[in-house]
Amino acid sequence: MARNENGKQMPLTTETSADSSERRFRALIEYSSDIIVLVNVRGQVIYISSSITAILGYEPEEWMHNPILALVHPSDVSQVQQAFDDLLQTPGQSRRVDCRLRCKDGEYRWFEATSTNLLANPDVGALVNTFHDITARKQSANAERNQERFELVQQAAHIGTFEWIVPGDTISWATEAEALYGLPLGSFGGHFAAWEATLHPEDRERAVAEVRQVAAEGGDLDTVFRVCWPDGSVHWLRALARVFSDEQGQPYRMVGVNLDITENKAQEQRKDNFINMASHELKTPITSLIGYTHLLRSRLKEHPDPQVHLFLDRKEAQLNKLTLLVSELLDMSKIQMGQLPYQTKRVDLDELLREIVEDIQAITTTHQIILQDNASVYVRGDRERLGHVLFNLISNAVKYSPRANQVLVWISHDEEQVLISVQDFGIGIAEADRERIFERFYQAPDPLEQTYPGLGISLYLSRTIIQRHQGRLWVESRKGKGSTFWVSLPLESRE
Amino acid sequence: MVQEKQNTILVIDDDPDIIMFLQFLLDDAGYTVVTAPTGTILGQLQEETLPDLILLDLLLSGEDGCILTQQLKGQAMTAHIPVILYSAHPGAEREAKVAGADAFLAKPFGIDDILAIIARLLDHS
Repeated sequence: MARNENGKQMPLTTETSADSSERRFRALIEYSSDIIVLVNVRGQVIYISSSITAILGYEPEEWMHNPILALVHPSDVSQVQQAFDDLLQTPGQSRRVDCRLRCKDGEYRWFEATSTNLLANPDVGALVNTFHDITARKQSANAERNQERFELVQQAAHIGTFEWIVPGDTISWATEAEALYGLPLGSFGGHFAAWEATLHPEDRERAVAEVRQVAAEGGDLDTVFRVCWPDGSVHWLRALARVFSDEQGQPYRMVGVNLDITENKAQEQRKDNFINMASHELKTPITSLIGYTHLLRSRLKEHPDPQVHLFLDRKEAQLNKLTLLVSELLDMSKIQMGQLPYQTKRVDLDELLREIVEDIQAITTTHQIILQDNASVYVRGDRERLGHVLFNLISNAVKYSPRANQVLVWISHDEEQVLISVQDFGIGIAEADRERIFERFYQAPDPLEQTYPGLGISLYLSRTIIQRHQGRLWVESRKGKGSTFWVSLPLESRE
Repeated sequence: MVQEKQNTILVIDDDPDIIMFLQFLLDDAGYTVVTAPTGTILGQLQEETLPDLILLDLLLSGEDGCILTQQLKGQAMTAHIPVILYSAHPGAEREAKVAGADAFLAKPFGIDDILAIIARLLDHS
């Protein structure tokens, strides 16, 4: 029972039935999570529910009499306009369109807008619009589309992504990653040991060590390794990844990709095989040339014309150069194929250095090669290959200092290692190239330097040889001033 | 020491230019040289006309110098003859030694090197 202003009791139902209906409807509208807007035939707002405050951040008064289209995202305006125009032609009908509305703070949210043309209805006389917030649904659909795109990209490019959570050693793989390892869908165990088990036994130790090291120190991973598929086939994979830290700055997860490089490796192999075969083919004619040159020399031993001897000298020098080039080509192709054989014997490095300096000085008239050495010093390794390295360094020093007249060679040792330096006063090496010159085929891009003959492999070869002897090869240089190449090698241990 | 007769060297190589320069080279060095383009001659060797040293290319067309070496070493009549195998493949050294070759040379070989090895092997026998 209700009471009126006079305190008299009044029956609820009869007096307030119209009121209560209206209050009920008002409550429905005002407390709805949708925004309800009435617009006139010109698209101007004549009523807007207070839920606009909670959803978009405006006070209803801000939008009264304003065109509703001003709330709509610029990219959606033409679509909404079109729906509105269509609706005007069809009294009593509804249209639905998805569009974005602008929040007070400038952000946009997605809404499903349903609009009904009740202009002709005398009680309403407006277009009734409900805006239902579908932002969450849209975001989730976007996320799904992005995820699908992510998977499709991986399939198309044959790249498989992975994520390794370091503490706990769990790994998650994308579908394509499993394919790269030849595993049936969903069969990957999901932990580090499961990955380790796929590795080829010969590569396992190295690959695991590399990966763990990057995980511990942070940074980027770029490594290659073989994996054995369940069907027995062997494939080469490359792993590229980055380590991300947690809030304490500790390495937490490694995220990256695997790609199959088996075909690339096969191609490289074919190339190296070809270089190998070509070098061998070259050796037989060179053998003939050397033989005939020798015979010519002995036949012409007593020849009075000094130029004949000069020409024969030049011929022999060029043949030696040719032999060396072919040798380098061959060695290089063998390194790539992992087949470069090394001897392990006692080598007197001091004696070897003296011999090489003598050999080079004998054919060099433009420079004086000054050697500062002292006593015998012994290392273990391949005398011929070490000699090759020293020969490369000293002849490079001469080659790259055409305007100078000296090359300084120095050898010294302490209890543990021997140090050799070869110093020239030539064109020098720019800072940017200092490490790259040791790369296979790399030639410093300075246009001046490309006029110097050479294949760009002697430093790569030399470094590989020195590394095989557990030594180091590096350079100090100033562009325009000259370079000093350093070699360090461990002494033969006295055992 | 004076030698009663010149040593005879048998050279087998299918490359005629290599054969010719080796012939001149060894001739100049004081050896009697017999040459052949294939290993067939080895099957025709007689006791009276055995060479004192055999110089053999590892890769002959259609024949394997290693197999020929094995055959020579396995045969009583020829087992004592020093055999030098040469090849463009330095890695073939192991194979050559396994087959029984007394020495191996990688092409292109130094002229002094080959003469020295021949002299050494002939000196020992």
